[in-house]
Amino acid sequence: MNSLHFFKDDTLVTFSGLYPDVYLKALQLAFLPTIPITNHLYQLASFFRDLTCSGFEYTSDCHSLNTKKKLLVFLDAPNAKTLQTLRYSTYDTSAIILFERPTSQPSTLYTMLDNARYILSSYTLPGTYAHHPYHYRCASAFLYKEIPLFSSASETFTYQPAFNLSLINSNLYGNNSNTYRLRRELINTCTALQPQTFLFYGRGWQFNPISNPINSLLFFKNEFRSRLYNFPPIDLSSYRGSCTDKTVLLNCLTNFSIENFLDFDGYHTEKAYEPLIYGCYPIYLANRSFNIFADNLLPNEADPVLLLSRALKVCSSGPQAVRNMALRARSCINEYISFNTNTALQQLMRIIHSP
Amino acid sequence: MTTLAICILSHERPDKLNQLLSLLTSTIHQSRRVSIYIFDNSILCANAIKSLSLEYGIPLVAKPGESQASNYASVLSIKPHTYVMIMHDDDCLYVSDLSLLLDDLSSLHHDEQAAYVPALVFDNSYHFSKHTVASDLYPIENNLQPFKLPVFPSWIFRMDFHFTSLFRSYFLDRPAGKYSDIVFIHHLVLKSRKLYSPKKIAGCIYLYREHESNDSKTSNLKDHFAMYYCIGVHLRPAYFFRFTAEYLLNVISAILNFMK
Repeated sequence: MNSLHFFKDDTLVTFSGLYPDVYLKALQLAFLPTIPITNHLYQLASFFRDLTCSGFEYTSDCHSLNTKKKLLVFLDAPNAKTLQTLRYSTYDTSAIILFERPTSQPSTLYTMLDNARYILSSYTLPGTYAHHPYHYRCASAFLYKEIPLFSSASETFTYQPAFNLSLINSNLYGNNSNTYRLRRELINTCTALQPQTFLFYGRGWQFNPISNPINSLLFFKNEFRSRLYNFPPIDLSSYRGSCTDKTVLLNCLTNFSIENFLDFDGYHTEKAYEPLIYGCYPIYLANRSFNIFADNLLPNEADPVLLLSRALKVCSSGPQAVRNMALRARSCINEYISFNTNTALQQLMRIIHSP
Repeated sequence: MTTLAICILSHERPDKLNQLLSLLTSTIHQSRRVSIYIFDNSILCANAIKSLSLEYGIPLVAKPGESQASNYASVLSIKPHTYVMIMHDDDCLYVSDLSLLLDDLSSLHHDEQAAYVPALVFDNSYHFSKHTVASDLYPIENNLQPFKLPVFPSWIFRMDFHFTSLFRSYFLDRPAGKYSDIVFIHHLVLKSRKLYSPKKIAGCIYLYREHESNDSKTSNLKDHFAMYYCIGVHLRPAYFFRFTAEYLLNVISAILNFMK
């Protein structure tokens, strides 16, 4: 199944996109009694829940429906096969929300940009599409509701951070050679200078074919690339393995949040705000232009020593002060989101409910 | 009260100086017992370094276009401190525990002229080697070998009359050319053995950066020879003959290897 269908009265909304398992998982979460805030699909699941609360019903068969208004929504560009199966022309209107940057999307992206009635993204579109008449620049493509806070969700939680620095990062090269190199350099620097207070998690950093064969393949692929491009060898003394969710951040004062790409105005992902859920202050590195997180968090130059210095400076003010900084940053972003209501998913909700 | 002056000699490398200042200021936090100074003789990047000085609020002694010796001499113009550390802008200093560092310095005997901090070597890809530079230096005689330069940084000197007079004679006169600093540290160790403390000062790590423009990579035979000559003739004559003999043997073996 490559798409989700919701209907209400004479309106049909179909969701599709790059990774079917993402929106299917989000839909499953939306039907739980409480959406777990530690899940990285919390925001998308909240959107689906609001959609169902507003009267839309989920259906697996859309062909039997006879609706007047048909809206097709893509969460990132779909691959060519998915696009064919959707019979694109039968829909009145289509909207696309761009999460990932264009170069990491399928070739169908430009077909989508040519035909979509609404293009919602937080970053500037590339090339000739930069002045597309239907492009709506949103404050964020990832956020929908306010950023939750873990400690308020758990009554048994006590704040006792033991680590100053942390990094959760998969060993993924993913065509982002500059930030991949930076991460390796940062890991080496933190491990050398702060071995006791640096916490490092992520998939695919160690060869372990028995417990995790897929990660081991990932390890080989990326280590081969690292040798090929002369990336630095990695010091894994502080490595703790892979983690299922980011609750480990409850134990940390700061977290290095480095976006995969730094060359797109306004490009940001969930990395910018996820540490704030756990009261952990993000040492955030992204393109500062048009980035709503830039003023609240600390953007920095792409340099491991400068990033580490920032983190140490933040930590020097003491655990409670750092936590207060994280809480302040979170409330600033939440206030901005609730006041402006210009996130991609909020815009989409308006489009769906418009006559 | 023990005070420490960290003197940074800067020349046309604002990006690396930025790293050093960023790391230093993030760990020192405007301590009254530690002062940082920048001594700059850049021409092309003078404005960039001035901006960094303003950004971090660190006093700058700018002498655009002046010689390196003149830049070194400026170190003596700072107000008196108990200890002084002279470092280059391409290296870094990570202070993990400032109070421990100052306590260790305070515990030195007043006759002890110099002490070293542990050091790590790192390269452009931020790969940190585990060996410490300063511990390799001790005992310093083991480090005096042809083709292997003893590393100058990571030393903290007591800023007294002895230091000032010796510093002036080595850095302003520069009898050993670009390696005057190495001869200076050898003088302290070989001639003033009683004044040298083998104690390792804890609380900070000197980060020695290996890069394309390191002095050790752009050195030539003349500079090496001047250094060996100064150490040998002025400090320990036997060394000079040993160096020369070992050097010639190395050259001969290199030629023989090439012919094979």
